[in-house]
Amino acid sequence: MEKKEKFDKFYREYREKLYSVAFRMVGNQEDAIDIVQESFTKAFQKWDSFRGEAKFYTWIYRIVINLSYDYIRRRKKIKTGEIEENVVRIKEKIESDKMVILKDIKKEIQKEIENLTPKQKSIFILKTYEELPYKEIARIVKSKEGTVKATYFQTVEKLRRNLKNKGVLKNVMQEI
Amino acid sequence: MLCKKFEEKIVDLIFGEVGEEEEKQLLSHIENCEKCRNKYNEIKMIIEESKKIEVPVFTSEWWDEKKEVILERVPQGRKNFRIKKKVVFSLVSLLFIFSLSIFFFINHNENIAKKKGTTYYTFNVLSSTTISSPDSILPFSEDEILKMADYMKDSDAEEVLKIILK
Repeated sequence: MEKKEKFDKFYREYREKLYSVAFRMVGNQEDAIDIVQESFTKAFQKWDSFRGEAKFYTWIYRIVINLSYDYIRRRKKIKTGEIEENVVRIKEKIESDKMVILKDIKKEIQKEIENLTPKQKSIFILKTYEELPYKEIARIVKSKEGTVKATYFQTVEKLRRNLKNKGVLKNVMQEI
Repeated sequence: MLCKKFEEKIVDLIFGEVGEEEEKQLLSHIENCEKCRNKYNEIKMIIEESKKIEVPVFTSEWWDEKKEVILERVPQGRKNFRIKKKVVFSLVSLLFIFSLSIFFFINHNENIAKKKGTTYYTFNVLSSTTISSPDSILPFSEDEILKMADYMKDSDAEEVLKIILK
């Protein structure tokens, strides 16, 4: 099989997965597409250096995660003022309502995920959506397996605590 | 089972990453512990609801168009990258070989000069030193030593001259 054909197969297999990770990391389509394109460009350039595909897919996931960190950092710089304003507004809303009753829990979870640190976010995404083993995630984020496992639990706990504080979980659990 | 032990295994239980026996123990714990049961249900719900968050889906044609853009970008970038890498590698190698040659050349000349007592060049290429005789171990010419003697005490200068005359 020729290099181009092999790349084509790899591209078809991973394009949606990588896009999904990038989109969940940065939260918008345009940046996610840029990240995926850049990652695949780098992948094609480095194609000859990687013989084992398992190692290669870990590597390309790492590229997507690192590029996402860059995009988040850049966006943070631009929008710092804007975000601060929103935070004030959200706080005011919570204080006045005390308990936010929301029908769409997915939206609330999504908001909370957006507020995670880039590292927590990447580990949460790779485990929850991609269902990768901790060992693989540790290779992608260049960390230890135990640290990744602990971070995932801390992240889920953080989401649970925040949703509970907003009163979202209480309402949902009562419905269940 | 202790609640703390259960807490450590909540996520594994949700993802089905525990053995059969352990699963039984964990499930039996949440049957009897309301606090852990609530926690388990809440975390499970968060994970399950998170999975329902959708990501935009694109058609195969759309992805193919993107692939063409990627492939168009690559050849030139790859060529440049290779050329750059080759040029840098060649320059570094040449510089390394050149430095090594100079180093050995100077060292070799110094050794020969020391043995023969002739002029040799030091690392400071601009300065050269003449050795007076084949047996001398002093890296100065007689003239230089005589000049230095001007700045010595008479007794010391005499001692040095005796050594030279030997």
